[in-house]
Amino acid sequence: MYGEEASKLAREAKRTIDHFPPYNDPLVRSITREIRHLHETCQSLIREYNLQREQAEEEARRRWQEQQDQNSQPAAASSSSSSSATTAHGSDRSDPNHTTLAMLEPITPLSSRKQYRSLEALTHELVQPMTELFWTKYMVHDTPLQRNKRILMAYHFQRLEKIKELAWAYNSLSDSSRRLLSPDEIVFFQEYERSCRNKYTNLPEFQELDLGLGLMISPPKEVFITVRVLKDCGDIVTESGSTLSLKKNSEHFVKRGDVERLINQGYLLHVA
Amino acid sequence: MSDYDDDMLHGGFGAQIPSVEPEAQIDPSQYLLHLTQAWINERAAPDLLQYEEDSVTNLLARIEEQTATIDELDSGTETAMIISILYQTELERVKFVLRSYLRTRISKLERYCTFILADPSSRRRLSRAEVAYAENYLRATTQHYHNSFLSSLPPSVQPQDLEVFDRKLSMVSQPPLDEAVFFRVVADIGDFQISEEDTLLLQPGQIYILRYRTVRVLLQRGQIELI
Repeated sequence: MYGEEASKLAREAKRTIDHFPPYNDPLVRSITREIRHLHETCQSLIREYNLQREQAEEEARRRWQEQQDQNSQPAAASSSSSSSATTAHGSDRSDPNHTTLAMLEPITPLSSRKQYRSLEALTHELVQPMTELFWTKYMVHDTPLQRNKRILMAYHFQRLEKIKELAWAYNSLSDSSRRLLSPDEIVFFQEYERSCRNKYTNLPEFQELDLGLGLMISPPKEVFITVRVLKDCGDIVTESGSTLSLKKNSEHFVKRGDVERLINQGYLLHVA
Repeated sequence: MSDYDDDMLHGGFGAQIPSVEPEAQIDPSQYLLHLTQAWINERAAPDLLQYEEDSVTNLLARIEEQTATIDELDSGTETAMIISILYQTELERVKFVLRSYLRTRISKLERYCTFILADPSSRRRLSRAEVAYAENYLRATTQHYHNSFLSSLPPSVQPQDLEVFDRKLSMVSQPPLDEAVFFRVVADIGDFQISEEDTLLLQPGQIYILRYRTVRVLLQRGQIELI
């Protein structure tokens, strides 16, 4: 069934809104394949419809001609009297849908408005069911196409949001997160980091500000805080120039600014 | 001791005491108050607001001065150290507001990137750096969508800014201007037209909730503060 794969992807995206799953390449591929297939079907539907419509118009014109031939003997006198009233209308009937009539007019100069209407009605009668059928078929294929595309956009958008979070929190991709990204997403990460994040945070006027820090939830209450080390981070150099050795399970009383980034990355726990 | 007192008076960002430095026309604490309100507005408004260039530049300059003062104090006596800590706390808080302000703008800018760049009046509200940021960001995302999957679709399906289903469902996300905002009235406005038929008496000091689109003008004029 159309749209099934896409709805799988949408569900996956929704389910994983809080964590970051690996890029679902097979599913994305199968959805793009479905879109291509749907698009081809739509195109062939349009071609088929145009062809059938031409045939139907042809058919209508033929039947109308037959009727005219039958009517022409008894009604020849009356049709000539009404012709003068309709010649003015000839010009504004020249839109492309009615080329058939324009072609007919030189052959039957006596064509009256009434006769024209009968041709139009006949064509309409033949084309209408076809048009309805066409639109039904077309919508059935076009709706899942649009929907699939929308889901793909949404899926990639959600991933980009996560990648952006990573880019603000870390300077480079760790191996574990690298494995979760598609090659294109790694390119995006680097591009985003280089031309968006770094270009902005490294502006000379923002030097003092350490804009690159992850967004803090609460405003700082104090300069020095106590932190507990959750994961070994080795030695870090503080703002004042001294080194600080952060071993697992040790506690330190440090300047908040020095360890802010490590807290955001989950290496340290803010105790007090 | 009296030196330090003086420093506190001059340098304190949040200090309500008017500056006595002759060269400063506006008290730096005014900039901080202004920017803090701008930051609150920015966080509460669905749309991107005017960039507060003056306040930002001024505060950045003050931060630099203050950092130098702290460095001097740190090499001093014990009393100086305590004052230095007070300074540092304040400095960190000012930095926090600035950072958060800039980042809030960036996050809105990213979300409505295509729309903001295409809309001249929104674009005018950005700083130069933000325009560059938005352009780079738009390029990076467009390229990414294209490389990831759009390139393998038929050309007529590829555009990223179509109206979907002809139902006015645009693919370009726009700021939800119809969102409701809470705000406090700070100026004398009087009767304010909130829709074609209705007017509402907005009294100074009172808090109201209205559609952002309606009160946008008042916010631009600085007659209300979002909360």
